[in-house]
This record gives sequence, structure tokens and C-alpha cells, in this order.
Amino acid sequence: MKRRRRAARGPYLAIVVLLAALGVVGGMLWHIYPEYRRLRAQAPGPARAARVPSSHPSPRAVVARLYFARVVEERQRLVAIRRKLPAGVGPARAALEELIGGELPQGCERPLPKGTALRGVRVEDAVASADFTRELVSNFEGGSENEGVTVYAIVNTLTSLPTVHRVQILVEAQRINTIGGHLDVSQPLGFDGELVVGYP
Amino acid sequence: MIGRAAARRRIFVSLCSLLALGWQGTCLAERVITRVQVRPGLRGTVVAVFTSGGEALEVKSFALHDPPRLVFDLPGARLSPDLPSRLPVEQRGLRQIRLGQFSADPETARLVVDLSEEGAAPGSEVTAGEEPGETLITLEHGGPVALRPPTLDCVEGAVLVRIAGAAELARTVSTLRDPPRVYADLTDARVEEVYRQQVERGPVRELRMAGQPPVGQHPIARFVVELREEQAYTVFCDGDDLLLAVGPQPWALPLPEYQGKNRLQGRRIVVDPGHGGEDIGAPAAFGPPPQGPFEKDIVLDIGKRLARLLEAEGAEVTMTREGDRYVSLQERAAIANRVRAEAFISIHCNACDAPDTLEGTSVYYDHGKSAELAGLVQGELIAALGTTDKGVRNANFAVIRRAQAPGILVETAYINHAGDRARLIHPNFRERAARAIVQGLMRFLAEERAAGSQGT
Repeated sequence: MKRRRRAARGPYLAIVVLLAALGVVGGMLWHIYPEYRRLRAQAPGPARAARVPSSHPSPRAVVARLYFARVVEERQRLVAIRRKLPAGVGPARAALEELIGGELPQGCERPLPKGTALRGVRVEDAVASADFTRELVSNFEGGSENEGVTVYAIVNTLTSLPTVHRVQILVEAQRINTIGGHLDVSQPLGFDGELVVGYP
Repeated sequence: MIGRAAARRRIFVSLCSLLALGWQGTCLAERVITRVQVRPGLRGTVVAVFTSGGEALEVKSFALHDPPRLVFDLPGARLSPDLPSRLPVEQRGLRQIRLGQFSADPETARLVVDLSEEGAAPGSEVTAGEEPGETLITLEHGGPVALRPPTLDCVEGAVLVRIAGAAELARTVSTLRDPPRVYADLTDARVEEVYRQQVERGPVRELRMAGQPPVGQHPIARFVVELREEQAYTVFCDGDDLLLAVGPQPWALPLPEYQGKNRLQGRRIVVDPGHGGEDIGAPAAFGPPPQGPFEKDIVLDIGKRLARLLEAEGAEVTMTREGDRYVSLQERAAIANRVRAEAFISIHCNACDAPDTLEGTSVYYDHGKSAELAGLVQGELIAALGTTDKGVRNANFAVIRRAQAPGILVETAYINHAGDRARLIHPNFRERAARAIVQGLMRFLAEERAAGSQGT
């Protein structure tokens, strides 16, 4: 009797072990896969060297953080607003278009000078080159904090996208030294939380 | 270019002394004192004695009477013949410093500090300086300064409170309410007696003076101006006196002539008036066309005033632009790095998108000790200008990021705010801004030097 029972338990145990192993492997994949996708999306190098055209349609809705201007405690600051980007255009272009012409949150101001339009944006090796019309410079009204707001509204908004690490600002397809005479925008810039409300 | 001449002279002097050393022969080990510099330090006047290299000198000190004096003998040292025999000194209780060769065999140089009265000899300390061959003799303040009751004056509708002998003291000036009052806390000062005087003159109701609990080792004297109603105020110096003016638009009051005291002797300072040329900076009102005044013109004027004041203190000043000229951000910082600036000061006017909304003064810094410089300059600016205090901020503006020296970007006031603009276009406001920056900078450099000489 004892012997038969033991013999019957053999295959049962094997199935349990197999299921457990599958579960562990599956769980690991479940955790790793989004990270893998994220890294793949950001990875520079030959695999990603192919240019992503700005009109490349977004396969599904992307959520970006848009940085709008707001005066808080007598200072010009940036507030981050999470917004689902409209499908049909590249997320980088969609995010900047929202910043320039999308719905303006209550109590906020447009961070870019009046009349500024986006000429195009392309993302290459995780660097977004955002090309604006000349009003970005000619309609800039001056002020150092004001310039910080304009520059980092663009940079922080674009770097909130998983595909963008740094941002090169262009005017009429050319690199410029500065928008208002305080910040150097001749090189790509990364996220800066200094002006962001609620940033630690 | 004064700097190059001085450097050439210094090289000539060093060469001469080297020759002299060689001529004296190798058997004598005496050192030649090539330069003696007197400068203010945190704890008192610092006399820096330079020999061409080597370790700090041996110093023996003692007091003599009739007339009262402190003597510092430097055995084994000989004075270079082109050194002056007398050096001016700016410290209470000290009259002058004299230099002489006490004996030729053995060589002993002597430094004498003449005191203004018997029994008031300052403490002294001898340390090695930062450069090779630099010996520092610190003549400590003779304790806290005893302050007398303030005097009152009326000028152009404002009441001037004069505190004699308080110009050099570290201070905090601020306001209190219920009843409205302006107070000044002066460090390392004591009051001879508690003083309280009903005034009833203009906006002033009462003047008071009393000791405050000391901060660490430093006694504090507090002066209070009690007012009938809240008033603007400004703080400024007239020679050795500190003045507190209360009334409408105190920033427009005339200023006494600036008396430089060589407190920045040889310090290399770069003054950077923002924008210029095609870059007008912020306009008073946005166009098209933009309406003046323009930021570039106002900051050039403040920059020139600042440069003149710094030169009056003996500094070697370089300006990134002296006219209405475009200079790139990179070039401005490159100038500072090229002259190995000890401090970099960029001057700007602020603006925002909506006119007449924001106003006030702020100072930006990027790295290292710049934060301390920013804090000291901001404090002086607010006390002198009476503008809204928008505080000290960190920002990666190109010029202060690229300049290696401690650097600040001063936003004096908002050019597109009517109240601030009225200030900015007034020459006395601009002069006050420049003087406040000098005050803050001098305190920063003195504290830095004091910290440096204590470290060695």
C-alpha cells in the first residue's frame, strides 16, 4: 500500500515543480519586459540610428508632462501638467504643439514668446532637435527667470517623453547661442527641476 | 593695464632683490622683504610681509611707551630700499605703521605700529600666508566698538539717523510692525548706555539704542527707529559713519562722496554689464518697436559705477564691455578666466511677460563659494535699495556657470515694472546698487581671506 502511494505521488510532484518554475520565469519576464522595451526605445547606437521622422504616427496614446509658466510666490515658475497626447503625430511634435496651442491650464501662461511656432522636431539618439520660428528670439521680452521658464518649458516637456534625454533648441533650422542673453542653448540641454513647482 | 605695470614693477623689484641677495654673498642667510601690504581682515587689520619665497619669517613682538607703540622685529630680514617708510592703516586705535631697518649686523627689519592712546594695544597674531614667503601679522580689533547715541538730520523730506563709527561693522537691518519700526543690529558693538529719545520729527516718533544678547563671542548693539507709520528706508555709509534714512523714496536721496580705503588692493574683479549692442536686453515696454530705456544701457551705467568704486578700493578691474557693444556669453566668461578673476559680477535688470506684475531684487549663483557671495551682496542690496527681496537663487546662467571665479548675476530690479523702473532710471539708485555690491563683495573677500589665513 505504502509503496503504491509513493509511486503515484511522483508525476504529481513533477507537475507542481514545473508549474512553479514557469511561474517564476513568467513573473521575471513580466517585470523585465517593460524595462527592456524602455531601454530599447532609448538605446543609442546603430540599432536606433535610423531617424525617427517627426510625422511618425504614435502607435498608441502617449502621456507627457507639459510644463506651463505660472507666477508662484512672486516668482516665475514651471508647473508640470500630465496630458494624454493626441494620436496621429509624433509625441515630440504633439507635446510642443500642446505647449504652444493646446488647452491652457487655469492660472498658467504660455511659456514661449507670443507668435512662436514649431517648424519641426526630430529625435535622434535620444536628442530631440526642436526647431522654432524666429519669434522665439525676436518676441522674447527679456528677464533671466523668464528665459529660464521658456528654455526649460521646452526641455523639460520633451525630456518627459521616454525617447528623449536631451534637447537641442534651433531657430529657423540654425543653432543659436542664447534666446535672451542669460542661458547658453548652443548645446543640447537636459531636464532641470530648479524652476519647477513642487520639485524637491 | 595698471595690473600689468604693477606686475612688471613687481618682477623688477624681485629681480633687484635677487641681485642684491647674490651680491650679499652666500654666507649670509638673510631674506629681503620685497613688499608689505596692509589690508582689513575679519578679526582686524592684516599686515602681509612678503619675501621672495621661502618660509614665513620669525617675528618677535613687544610694546613700547611714549609714544605708545607695538614693535615687531623680523630677525634675519632686510627691507628692500624702495619700500615706503610709512603705511596708512584704517583701524580704530591704530595711527600708522612704520618700517625701518633696526640693525644691519645682524640684519633685523622692524615694523612699528603707532597707537592712538596708551593702554589700548591690540592683540596680535603671526601666521604664515598662502603664498611662499608671506608672513601675516594680524592686529586684532581692540574689542567691540563703543557706539554713541545717534544724531538726527532732515534732508529732502527724509529723516537721517547717523550712527558714528559704525560703517565697518557687520549689520542686519530690517523692519518690525506694531508699532512700525526699522532696526539695525550691529555686530561687535556695544552701547555706552541705554538711550531713548522722543523725536516727533517727520515720520519718526522715537529713537532707541540698547545692547542685544551676544551672538557667540560677538556683542550686538541694536538701534531702533520707531515710526508713526510704515516707511521705506535705505542704509548707506558716509566715511566711518552709518546712515539710516527713513522717508518717501529714500533710494533717491543724494549720496556722500565715496571714500575708497584700498580695501581691495590688488584684487582682480571682473564686472560684466549684461547684454549690449544688438542685444538690448529687456526693454521698458515690449514693441514693436520696443520702448526704452533698455536694460543694456542701465546695466552699463551701473557697471561703470561699480568699476570706479572698485578701483577706488584698489582693485584691478576688468570690464567685459565698456560701451554699447555685443559680447557673447562665452567671451564674457572667457575674459574672467583669462585675467584669473577673484570674483565675477554680472549686472542685469529683470523683466517678465506681464508688465507691472513682478518687482524686486535677486542675486543668482551657480557654483561653490558663489552662494556666500550672493547672500552677502543680496543683503546689502536690499538694505540700500529698499526693493522687494526676491532672495538668492541657484541658476545655470552661462556667464556664472563658465566663469571659474566665485560669480554672481545681480538682477537689480524689474525694468518693466513702473515702480522699479522709476528707481532704475534714477542715478542715485544706480549708485546705491553699485555701492551695495562693493560692500557685499568686500565682506565676502575679507571673510574668505580670514578663513584662508586661519587655515594655514
